[in-house]
Amino acid sequence: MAQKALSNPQDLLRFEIVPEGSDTVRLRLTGPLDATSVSRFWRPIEQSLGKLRFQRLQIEATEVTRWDSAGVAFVHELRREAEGRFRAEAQIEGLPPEWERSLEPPASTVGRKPAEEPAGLIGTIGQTAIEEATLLVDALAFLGRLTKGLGAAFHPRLFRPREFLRIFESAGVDALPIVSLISFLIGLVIAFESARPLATFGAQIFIANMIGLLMVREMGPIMTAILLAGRSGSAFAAELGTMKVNEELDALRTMGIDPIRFLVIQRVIAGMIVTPLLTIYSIFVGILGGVLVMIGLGYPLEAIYHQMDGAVQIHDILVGVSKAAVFGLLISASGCFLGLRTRQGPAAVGASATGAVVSGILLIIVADSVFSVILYLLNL
Amino acid sequence: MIASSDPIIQIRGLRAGYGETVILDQISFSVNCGEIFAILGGSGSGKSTLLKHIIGLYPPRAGEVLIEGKNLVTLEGRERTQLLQRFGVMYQNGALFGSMTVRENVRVPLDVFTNLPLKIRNAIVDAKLAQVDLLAAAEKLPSELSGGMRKRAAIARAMALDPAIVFLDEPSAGLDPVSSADLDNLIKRLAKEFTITFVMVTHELESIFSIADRVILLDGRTKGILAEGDPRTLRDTSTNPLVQHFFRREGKSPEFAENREP
Repeated sequence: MAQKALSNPQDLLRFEIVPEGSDTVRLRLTGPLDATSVSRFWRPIEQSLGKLRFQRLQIEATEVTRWDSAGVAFVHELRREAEGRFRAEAQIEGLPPEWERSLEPPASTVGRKPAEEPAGLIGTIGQTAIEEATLLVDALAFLGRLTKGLGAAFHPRLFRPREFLRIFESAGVDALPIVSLISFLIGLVIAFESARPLATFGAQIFIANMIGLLMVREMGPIMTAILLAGRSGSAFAAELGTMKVNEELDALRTMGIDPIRFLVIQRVIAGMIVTPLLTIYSIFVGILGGVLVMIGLGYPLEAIYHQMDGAVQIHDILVGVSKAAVFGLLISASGCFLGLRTRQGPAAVGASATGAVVSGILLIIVADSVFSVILYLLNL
Repeated sequence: MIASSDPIIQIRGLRAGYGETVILDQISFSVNCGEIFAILGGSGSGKSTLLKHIIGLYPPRAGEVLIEGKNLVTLEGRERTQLLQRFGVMYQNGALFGSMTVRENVRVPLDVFTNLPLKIRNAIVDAKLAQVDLLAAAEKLPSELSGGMRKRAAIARAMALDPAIVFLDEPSAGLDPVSSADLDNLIKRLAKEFTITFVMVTHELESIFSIADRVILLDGRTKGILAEGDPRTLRDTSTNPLVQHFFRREGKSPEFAENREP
């Protein structure tokens, strides 16, 4: 009778694999069968068993001194594998009766739908496509309802002027310090960066043209809009998302009040008013930054003024301001849209707020590109 | 306590669910005017799902829900809004608007749907808040209220337009036994004094026995109604072991199903 024995160095668990007759194998376990010994010995035991051919596996655990869940799960798994892989009969001797119950398949899992299989590559692509298409359809529906809400007769009770002022204050007035700082520094940096290259051509006076046009047509509206997307787009999404999680949107609906008209319209209008105003402010502060650099370079204020006056036309300012209005609409509408779409659960509000910032900035840049092409074609 | 012979809510062959999941099927029952009606069941048996379908947040897959004989799903525009005003809903955590005071919360339906002058609207709000014993907290924000106060404020808001029915989603959830009993007494008093029909979703046995006139017990496994009737009679006479288990918390555990709502 062949015998194979292994002992571990710390003398924790001992196992013996004893072939009995032609088709039976006995696995004798001695010592503590716990997480420590299982993690040490499961591989040698399985490998030794894998080399043998048998029809019956007897797991003798009468000498096991300590059991824990890992040990029980291990012998259970050994039995399952023996039955599955080798089509063998497997028996466990000496399993404590209180553990016996936990090895029976729980009744509630019988007949339950198996867990959803992870989708393959094509499945994932398909699922993503469906999700994106749904998002697009929802966005279109939202746009329709928003337009209808904006077009409907102005309803002072749904509009709630005080709430509008609160939003206006937090999105506009409270944003003044950060808009000042960023615009001032942007104007300053543009002037500094262009000073040296332009000096080689003796054309430093054209810094004034550059600052003027750049701030008025591009940097003013874009920087303001990006700041607003970060501050207010995310805030709108988080506010509406929290209201959704808190069933406040359901409450509105069962009262017969349309959340779009009660919550979204005022935010969108506030965004459309506040962004152009902040943009004008940002343009002034940015130009101020650039002008300070030019004064530092030795140009008199009067010369700078004349230079800029010749470069920046009234239609440039109109372009900047109308861009800003469109950006404001995009930021607040996408923030509200994602807020209303918030799913359940504690992470959902955060996801909506993040999505609002990302989609807000994306929409700003895309819209800006469209503006550039159109304005170029219109010769403006 | 039945004020009219016609049932105020009729549900016929309702199939309810989310996405592809059917949670309840073939649900039929009716609620009489002026009674306190409770929808019972274990966790995941579909109580809240049923409520959400009754109040029109989700359209039924099959069957119909009639409130005062009218179907929310087929109504549109003004008629739908009018029907929505016939009932109020108290959500589980109150669902008060966080940026408004209690007074403004209760006034929202009045602001939106009536042409009354502000002082009259405020007087109505005072009356509603007095009914739920919350007048002292009128100018507080929801975040400054306790759980029980929030629920009472939500009931006041649900009653702002003098509805015929008030739906309550888990009124005792998250409340201590004393606040819970206070809320029960409030509901009982309002039902009696103003002939309001209350429909509540709950699994709180004490409230059920102390205030519910009639109940249905949902069973998640069969997706149907296990029992219907007076809760005390069901407790004392039903021979169904599942019903016994629910009302007495004894007997073999009858695994109420595990369909979780999303």
